[in-house]
Amino acid sequence: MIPTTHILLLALLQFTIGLLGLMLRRAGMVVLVSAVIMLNGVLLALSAATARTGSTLQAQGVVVILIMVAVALSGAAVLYGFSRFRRSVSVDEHDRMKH
Amino acid sequence: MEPILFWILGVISVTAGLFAITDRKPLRSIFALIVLMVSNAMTLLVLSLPVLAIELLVVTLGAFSAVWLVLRRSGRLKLGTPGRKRFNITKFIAFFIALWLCVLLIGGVFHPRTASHWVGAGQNAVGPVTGPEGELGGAMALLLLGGAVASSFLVVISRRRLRSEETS
Repeated sequence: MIPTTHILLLALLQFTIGLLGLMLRRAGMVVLVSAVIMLNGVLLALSAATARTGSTLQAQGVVVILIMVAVALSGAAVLYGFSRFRRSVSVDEHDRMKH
Repeated sequence: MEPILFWILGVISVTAGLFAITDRKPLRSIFALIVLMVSNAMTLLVLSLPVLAIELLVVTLGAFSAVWLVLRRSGRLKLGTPGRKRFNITKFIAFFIALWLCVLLIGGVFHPRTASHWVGAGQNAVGPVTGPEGELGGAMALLLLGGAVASSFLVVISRRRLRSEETS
């Protein structure tokens, strides 16, 4: 028997870790990884609600996973574009919308 | 059984998350993220949500393998000099991820569950409490956890061998 508060606590920890990485790190890939960690926390919180109330919220978990994939692929595409034009993936060096 | 597994997996996922945001090398961050995702998938399996666990593993690991390929093609990640025979870490990781996927798929196909297992557990509790279903889910998660520990051990061994080859 796993209490819901414990699952939500773990989800909050993961979300906080992702938020810290998103705010503190400069490398583009690590920023992308941090965003995915935050979405993992969201998925865990949603799955806690799913496991408590039944399978009605399971479709929303699928949507969160798809959003995670979209974030990962679009972020990778942006990083690839940055690396082609400036040979760098640090987010501090990309402060203009032109090259 | 299940609370212990849940907390072990929680510690693994939080440690992997901290490692992912603190390590200097982006490649290690991606490896830590994969560990976090696998432990999250096992947590979902402990919570009797095998569909979400399988989708998390298949879809997100597929996406990150695409990211991996893009970065390898762009020349950002160089994992070794070509033409030299080396111990291949990627093959080991891919083999164990494929093994986990097979176990998850077999468990999802041959052990379907209904919502009635979760609803009757009480007001402030989730997951199966008693019965053969709960024991089977716990044993399966334990099996996956053993696979994770074994593959981590193999990765550490291969890294040490790589370093010793480089120094020699």
